[in-house]
Amino acid sequence: MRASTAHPQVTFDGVSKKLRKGTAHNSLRDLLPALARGLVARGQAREALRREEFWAVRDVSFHVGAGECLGIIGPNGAGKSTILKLLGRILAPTLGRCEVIGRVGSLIELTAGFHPDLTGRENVYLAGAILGMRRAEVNAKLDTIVEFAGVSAFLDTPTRKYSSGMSARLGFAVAAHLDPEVLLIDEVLSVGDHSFQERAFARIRTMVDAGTPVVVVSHHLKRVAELCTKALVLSHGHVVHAGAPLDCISAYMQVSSGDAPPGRDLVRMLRRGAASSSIESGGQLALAALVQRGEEAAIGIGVRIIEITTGRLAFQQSSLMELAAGTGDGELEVTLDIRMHLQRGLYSAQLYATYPGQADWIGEAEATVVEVASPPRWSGESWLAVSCRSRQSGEALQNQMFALAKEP
Amino acid sequence: MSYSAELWQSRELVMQFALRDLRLRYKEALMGWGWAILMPVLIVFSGVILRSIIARAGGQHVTLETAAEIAVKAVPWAFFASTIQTATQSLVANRALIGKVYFAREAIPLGAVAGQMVDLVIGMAMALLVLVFAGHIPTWSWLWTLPLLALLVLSTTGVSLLLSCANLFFRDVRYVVGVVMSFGIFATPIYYTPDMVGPTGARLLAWNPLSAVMLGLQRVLVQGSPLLSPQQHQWADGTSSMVWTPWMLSYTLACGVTGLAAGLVLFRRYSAVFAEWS
Repeated sequence: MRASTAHPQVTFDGVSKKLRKGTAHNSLRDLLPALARGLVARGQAREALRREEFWAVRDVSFHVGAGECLGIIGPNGAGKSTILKLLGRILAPTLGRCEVIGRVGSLIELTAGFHPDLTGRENVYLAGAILGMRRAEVNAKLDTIVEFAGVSAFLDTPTRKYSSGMSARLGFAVAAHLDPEVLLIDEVLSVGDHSFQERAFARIRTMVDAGTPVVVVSHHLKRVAELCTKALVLSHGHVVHAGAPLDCISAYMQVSSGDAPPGRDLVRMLRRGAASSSIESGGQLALAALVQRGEEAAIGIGVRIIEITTGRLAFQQSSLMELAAGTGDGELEVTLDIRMHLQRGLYSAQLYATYPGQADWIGEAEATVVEVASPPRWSGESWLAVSCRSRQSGEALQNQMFALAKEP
Repeated sequence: MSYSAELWQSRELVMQFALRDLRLRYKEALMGWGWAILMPVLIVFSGVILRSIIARAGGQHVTLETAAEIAVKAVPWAFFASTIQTATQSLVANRALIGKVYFAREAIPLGAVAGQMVDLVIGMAMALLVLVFAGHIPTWSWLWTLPLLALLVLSTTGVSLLLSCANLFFRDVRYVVGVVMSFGIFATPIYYTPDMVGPTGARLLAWNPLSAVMLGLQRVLVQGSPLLSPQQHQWADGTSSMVWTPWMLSYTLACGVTGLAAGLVLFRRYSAVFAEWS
């Protein structure tokens, strides 16, 4: 598994993978019918889906070279893990070409190689061998691994007596010390306590900075934004968006928000302010949308800001301004300028419309994802200054300031 | 990377799987390493009982010699039977691992074989001790034991690869294997020798690839007769036929090599879809 002369890299070229839903035949009794079906289906194209089959990954292409880190995001069941399994040679593609050059390190299912009745030490050797390490290599790295995992005192204790965090830490430590030339990461950035997560993240960061091609699957969107150089959004096996990480996160928020609320067409995104970028705390985010004026009732304009990582609602205000009822003048352009005096993090900001005094949204613009990259210049409260105006004459310009609850 | 290079690189993984199996079997187990000889001892016991019933009917007695003779064949049989059964289930037992990490899948059944080899060595040492107690004096020809056991391991490995793969796709293979192993001991000259079963029986026995290993062991260890010279037997009706020829060893070798080659090729062909079936 040593590197050839070519640079370590990952190529996924028009890859599709067909999987079965249930178990097709698992007893000898089913052998004959299965063989018969196999003979009949022999001439069939690989494109065809038989009963119980579905495309877990459909026509996906990407390339990850030196110094690149690809983040794959998408809802559960979108095919993210299947892609990692294809890259890790656990599954073979039905169609297309999947090529990985270089020694692969998988930070996937960290404790898969462990047996609970074996001691920590024995498990390190076992897991190391499964990942392709030589005994001499494990001997040389044992101290570093154990120290990184912080389980020195329990090295000769069966891992069944470990806490789940300890096992996971040890598993991560083994896999991370493989010195891989290509790194695959599946949702392991949330292992262990906070300080371990920081160390694990720092270790991955070091590898990325050293030029190791990395593919990350994660729901931890903030980590994806911090780590990745590019990303793609997967839905039902298809790539629905590919590009810069923040753009993809924004697109993913659309995919995961599910069904469009009724009346969505009342609000149309005009301009995504500060589109998919990174600002300092206190920096300005501009959102602009075209809003269809209500014929009978007034329409209220609101804004909602969500902290993506935690899903926590950071701020919501439904009555920034009211657009009086009227006919004839069609769509109004509404602009929001928001000064984001917020803590560091990844936020999605969204402009929406309601009938004043009612909770239901009658329209919403696409969310804009913005990263607040620096901490506020002073410790303490987070606050927003929102200025809201409409281009149409006669609508009052409104400037408001909102204090947000102190971060816990 | 070529297939053979990958297999060669997996040797440490094979050893780690073998070690894991051994540790789990003997760690915190009541009998510890006693388990290694339990199965051969039970086989020897049932053989001695069987033979003493036959002997008593003929007005003779069973001696320690009989027990020793059965023991040198019971140990290899126990190795064969438990390796096949363990290896058959090995892929299914490790299916969680198969679905999560890539490694040369051959390492799983090969590790099962390697783990059982430790039991084989311990058991064989015990059997030789019994043989010495029964009055046999070790000679240089006892060294034939090593190539004979190597032949046994070779044959066992091919079958293990094939059956572990088959059991992943069809989970009832292991029940079939269990039944075949229970009766297989009677189709192999362990409790008896070919001269005890008549000319037809002797001819049929020669078709069993394991017969040559068992008879070879009996010749060099118990009878002290040369391995490479044939032996005629005069039957009660006056006819005579071969009950041993060194060509039987060639037949076993041919079967073993064919089985191993078929095992490796089929295993490799189907291992690409193991993760989808496990």
